[in-house]
Amino acid sequence: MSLWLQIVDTAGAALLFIGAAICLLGVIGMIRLPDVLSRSHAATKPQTLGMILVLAGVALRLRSGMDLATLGLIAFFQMLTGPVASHLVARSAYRTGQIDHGDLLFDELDEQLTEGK
Amino acid sequence: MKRILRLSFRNADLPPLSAEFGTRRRRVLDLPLIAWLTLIWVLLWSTLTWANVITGLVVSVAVCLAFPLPRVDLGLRLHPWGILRLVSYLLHDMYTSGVKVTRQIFFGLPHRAAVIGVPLRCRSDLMLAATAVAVSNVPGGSIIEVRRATATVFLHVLDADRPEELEAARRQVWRIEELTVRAFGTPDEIARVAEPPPPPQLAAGRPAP
Amino acid sequence: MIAPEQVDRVLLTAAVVLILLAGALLLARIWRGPSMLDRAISLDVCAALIIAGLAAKSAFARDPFYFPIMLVLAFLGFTGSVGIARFIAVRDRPRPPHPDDTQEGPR
Repeated sequence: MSLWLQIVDTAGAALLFIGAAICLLGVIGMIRLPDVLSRSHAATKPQTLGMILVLAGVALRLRSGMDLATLGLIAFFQMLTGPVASHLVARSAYRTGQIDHGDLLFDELDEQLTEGK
Repeated sequence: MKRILRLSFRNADLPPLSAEFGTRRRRVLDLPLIAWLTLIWVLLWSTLTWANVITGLVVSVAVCLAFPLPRVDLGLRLHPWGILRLVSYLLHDMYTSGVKVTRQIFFGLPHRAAVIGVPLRCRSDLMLAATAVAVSNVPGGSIIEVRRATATVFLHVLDADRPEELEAARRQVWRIEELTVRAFGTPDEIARVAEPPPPPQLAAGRPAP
Repeated sequence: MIAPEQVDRVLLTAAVVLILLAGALLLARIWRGPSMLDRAISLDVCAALIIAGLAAKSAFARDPFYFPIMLVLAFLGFTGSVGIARFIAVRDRPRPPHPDDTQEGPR
């Protein structure tokens, strides 16, 4: 095994480690933040940045064309489906009144909703 | 004698890049959709062989015939340079906003959040949805509601006490919108996005009631 | 002189440990999570963590065997939380939805 391949291997492992650390940071954020909408901010991090770094690490270690394409497809669908879920959760949290409107500094959506009714 | 298969550059009333076949019942196939489904099929099998490509083509044609989609022109155009710029901006933004959210998690706990509305410039549904997806993929922007009639997205921002943070969030959404439309949009949408962003209709940073 | 393979091994093992720790913390959030919507978000993150764990496994073994599972999780991992957000959270209302009395409240 040549030196360059070894360097790429170690870089892949390091990327995977960084991605796992970002996942952990996001989950710590989910523990610490106070309400649903703030938690969804923290939840985006393991889903996007951590996932991309982890998949890039795997790609650097596997290095064959078809596997790279599959990993790209995994990242693409993760990016595509994550917002659907987070938007629906945020929307139903807002609509069913599970967030504390007194905690918000101001709320431009609330005015429009009450205007619309 | 009717032809069995017609391609769209021979027949002007078909949507672009599609084929029509059949003699009695006309069926219209969307060729990029079939190519995309075949690609996913091959990637699911994770080996590129002729057998996989052919079975993938057969399966995707069968799926498109069994579940036909309505014929709409989505207005999706692919601009490779724009996609590259969008992806690199999103990666950079994921990094910077990730750092910001991490700082808020560990050091800025007594913050006040707010919900702001950002009026967008693009009007087509696809561009609106693409912008919303791109914005919510960045940590620090979580979209609560998208109003189609006025093309306004409402997002929840942490750290709303500081007016410069609010301004930064708005500018970030507009930047992502511009890059998204430049990556996927039709020419008139791109022209619309090239204008400066609309002034905020609602006063930002009102005190809490 | 440490062998480079050992460095890789240590890094990957540490990554797996971090992912497991994140999963344990996430279970705590699912347990405590005051509303169903917290659990829905946790479910999404849980799918992401499973994908990350499978990725670490396939990076260890240099084996694309688990890639279809990761792909299917990326496809369908969001359906559970969408179901919760659409159907359960509406019934699981912690208090009557009057806009006036949202000033205080336990959650």
